[in-house]
Amino acid sequence: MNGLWFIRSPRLRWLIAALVLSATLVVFVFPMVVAVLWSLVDPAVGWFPPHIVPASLSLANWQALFAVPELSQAFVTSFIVAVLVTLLSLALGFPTSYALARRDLKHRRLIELLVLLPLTLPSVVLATGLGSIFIRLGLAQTLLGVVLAQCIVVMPFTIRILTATLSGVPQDLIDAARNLGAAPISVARCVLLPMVLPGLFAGALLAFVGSLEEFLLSFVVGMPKIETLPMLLWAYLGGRSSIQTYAAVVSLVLLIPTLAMLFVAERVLKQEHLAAGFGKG
Amino acid sequence: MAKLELRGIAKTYGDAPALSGVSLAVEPGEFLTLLGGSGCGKSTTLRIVAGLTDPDAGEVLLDGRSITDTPAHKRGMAMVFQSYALFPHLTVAENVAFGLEMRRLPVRDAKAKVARALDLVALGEFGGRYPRQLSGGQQQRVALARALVVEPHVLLLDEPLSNLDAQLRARLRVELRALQQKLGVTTIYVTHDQAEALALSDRIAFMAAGRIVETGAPEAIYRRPQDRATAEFLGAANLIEGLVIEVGAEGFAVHSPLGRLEFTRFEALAVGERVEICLRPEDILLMSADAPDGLPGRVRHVAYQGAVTEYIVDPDNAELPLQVQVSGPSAWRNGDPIRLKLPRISAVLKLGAPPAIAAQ
Amino acid sequence: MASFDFIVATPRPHAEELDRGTRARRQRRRKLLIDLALLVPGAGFLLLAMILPLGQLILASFGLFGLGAAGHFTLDNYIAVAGNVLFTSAFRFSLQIAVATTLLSLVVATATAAVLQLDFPGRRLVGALYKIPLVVPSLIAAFLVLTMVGPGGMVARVLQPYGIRWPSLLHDPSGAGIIVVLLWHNVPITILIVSAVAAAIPRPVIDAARTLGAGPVRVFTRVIVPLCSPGISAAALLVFIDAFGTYAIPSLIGPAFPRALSVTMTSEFLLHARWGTASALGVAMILMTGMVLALYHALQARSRLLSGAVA
Repeated sequence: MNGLWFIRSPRLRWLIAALVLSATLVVFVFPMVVAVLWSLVDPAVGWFPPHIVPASLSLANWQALFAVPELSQAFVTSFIVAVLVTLLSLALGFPTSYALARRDLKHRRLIELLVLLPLTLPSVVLATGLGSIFIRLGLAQTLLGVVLAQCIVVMPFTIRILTATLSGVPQDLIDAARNLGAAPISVARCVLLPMVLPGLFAGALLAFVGSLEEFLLSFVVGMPKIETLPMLLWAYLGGRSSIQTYAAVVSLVLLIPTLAMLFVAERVLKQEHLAAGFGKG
Repeated sequence: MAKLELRGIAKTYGDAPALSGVSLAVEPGEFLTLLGGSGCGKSTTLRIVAGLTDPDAGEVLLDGRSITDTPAHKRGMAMVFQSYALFPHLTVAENVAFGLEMRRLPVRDAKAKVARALDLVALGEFGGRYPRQLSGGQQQRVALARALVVEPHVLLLDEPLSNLDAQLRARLRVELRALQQKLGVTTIYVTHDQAEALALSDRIAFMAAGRIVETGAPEAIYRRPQDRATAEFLGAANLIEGLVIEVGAEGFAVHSPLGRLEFTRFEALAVGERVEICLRPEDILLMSADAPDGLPGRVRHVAYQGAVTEYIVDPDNAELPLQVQVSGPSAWRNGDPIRLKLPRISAVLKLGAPPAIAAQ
Repeated sequence: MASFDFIVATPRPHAEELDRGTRARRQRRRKLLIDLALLVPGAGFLLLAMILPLGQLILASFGLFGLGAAGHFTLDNYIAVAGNVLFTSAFRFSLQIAVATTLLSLVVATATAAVLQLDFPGRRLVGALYKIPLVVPSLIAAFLVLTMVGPGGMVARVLQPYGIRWPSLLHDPSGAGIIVVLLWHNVPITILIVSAVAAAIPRPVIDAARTLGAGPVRVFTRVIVPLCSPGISAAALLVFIDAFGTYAIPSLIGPAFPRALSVTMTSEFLLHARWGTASALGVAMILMTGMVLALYHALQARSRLLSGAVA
């Protein structure tokens, strides 16, 4: 469907353009700007109505990232968890993706549904159920518990991306490698891995960012000893107190990797792989 | 140089049997071609030899020892694929070195061997390039070098020239055969192109519908096929039904729609046997209408092919159009009366035994 | 002669006697083992990680398991939930929010998708900008939207000098604040899906409708919307499930009463340690989500029948 043919007048087009563009800017871009401003508010002065712009700016809030223990602690925790979740979800997901992509499975449809299940279940249900089990297993309020919990909701994405990439490797190459003397491990190492590197990269990005942003499972499992950045954000937004400035800083810290990832991903990867990770069906 | 044997190989995919009762022996240093149309099971057979597919029944033996349960990567063979299957993320040299790397050859030795292999296929300067930078013919030669450098017990080739244009194919064919003879490696070649099979092989195994129909040296299998399917696949065939009426020490005679025909006898025949005589177009002689002997007939169709001219000729006394091939330009035109002289050497197909397949 | 002997000689004196069945059976078993080994790390982990909590949840809801359980099969938890206005209102509240968000996002997304089909200057910029919320997690979305339309937000501040009081969306008992944030978060993905589905309509189909006399409105309602319906229902499904089960947003800006279902469930578990009622609520949520999924699949099956007739 290219172009609505019935709007012909150029002036009308310009009007629509102006309206839509300004609406888009107000709705999607201004909040970012405001968030950045909030992060730069001078704590001694604050930013109260009716000021449209903060009276005075300072980097104090950003310095708090390193100075305030709970902020720096949450920062470190979030990134360590993200790295662990990325590694674990890729390592666990790779064999399953290989099976889905290249093996003749009898219950393939069922397994695909299983892989999608974490995303269709209401996360509250999963969180509370997991939370209660982890209490019994002694995994509650531990780093390992949070990592495992996050893996559950991250793996559907990594598995889908890896499966899409793996199915693109020509069978002839695998046959040639086996024929030339490569044992299964060598086939994986020398042929499969290099050829699925883009998919692995995409999967790692999705896993990393997904882990950074994950809130509910980490909250239910990790609270109060293990605190990630989203949990801290929740606290600053009124969960515990209401510190707009810190909330802004944490929001931006969480947003920057995400935006960077999207930028990199769009540049480096093929569209289909992204779609496999993001969308449904 | 190794002897390869297949005994009673069978394979079924789902409900359809892909291979049944395939048995074959390839002598050391021999170039054997599995020839047949698509779906005949030749590629499946090759994959079973390579260990990439497991047979449902039967044994694969190398130098007398069973390797049926040996995994593909431990069989010491090398395969050249129709699609070349070069690793796109490795350079030409790294591709060729792959098999040596899997065998843990020290890097220095490997480099020397790779250089020699690339020289063998006349690609010595291309070691640092990537497959995507090479033409189809060059890629195929890299694939060949990669297979030969590991000095395999058996070299397997799966329609390696199919993706190349006719000229390149003809040229590479010659190089391939020369290489194989020089190295003396036992080779199994798969193709559907009978010209290729005839030109390259020491022996041809003709396959249809999952079975080996017959095996033999190229000339034998072409001039005297034992089976109708073979006769029809390997070139144009004139098939003449006949009844054996006389059997002598050196020859025999049949009664056919063309009258009494006499041929040299190569196998046991009994009077009263029903047979089919197979004559190749190039063996039939066309003479002018006023020649002293031969069967009278009339030219029905002329097709000039450059090197040869193909005719379809109607004999006067039978409803049996015959294909005739004569070298050089056309001497006769459509409608001309001529005389046919049939050769004394023919292939005899026994109609008593049913052909290996119902329809091709 | 090859320098490396790669043949593993298998001592099989009776190899030829192995019948067809044994070899095939052995191969099948080996294949199954390999498949299983490949699936266990990923799919196996997921299976375990979901069956255990869910199983426990279901059992606990019937009083069979869990902290402080009755120890025998009982429907007490369900009765308690159904009879308590706290819980029934929570269910209704979440349903309201989900339905409202879904409908509104469909309308807004369709309108935007339609406008994006127009060729106007800056269209590509708009096309890139509206995708921003796709990468913004819902918590941050709550923060961003609040800074704009919250009580002390930019809109309020801009209007203040003119004496216009901007209504507080925070803690509004109608859930308006929650809906606004959910819309901001979900409309872009809906636009994406709807645009993709609309773009997939073959141009000749629309042209045919036009030549047959359909004006723009009728082309829209009789051709475009029906052909888009599988994509639209997929988008609606996504939005509904997200809005129904969302926790972070209502926990921060939702009203004290009624509270969203997810918030109620969490507080039963974390604050009151009433695992029985929490799990009963959880089962109710699963049932609701399951029903919507079933409805979606039924619609998909029906539309596949229809589109089969069209294509």
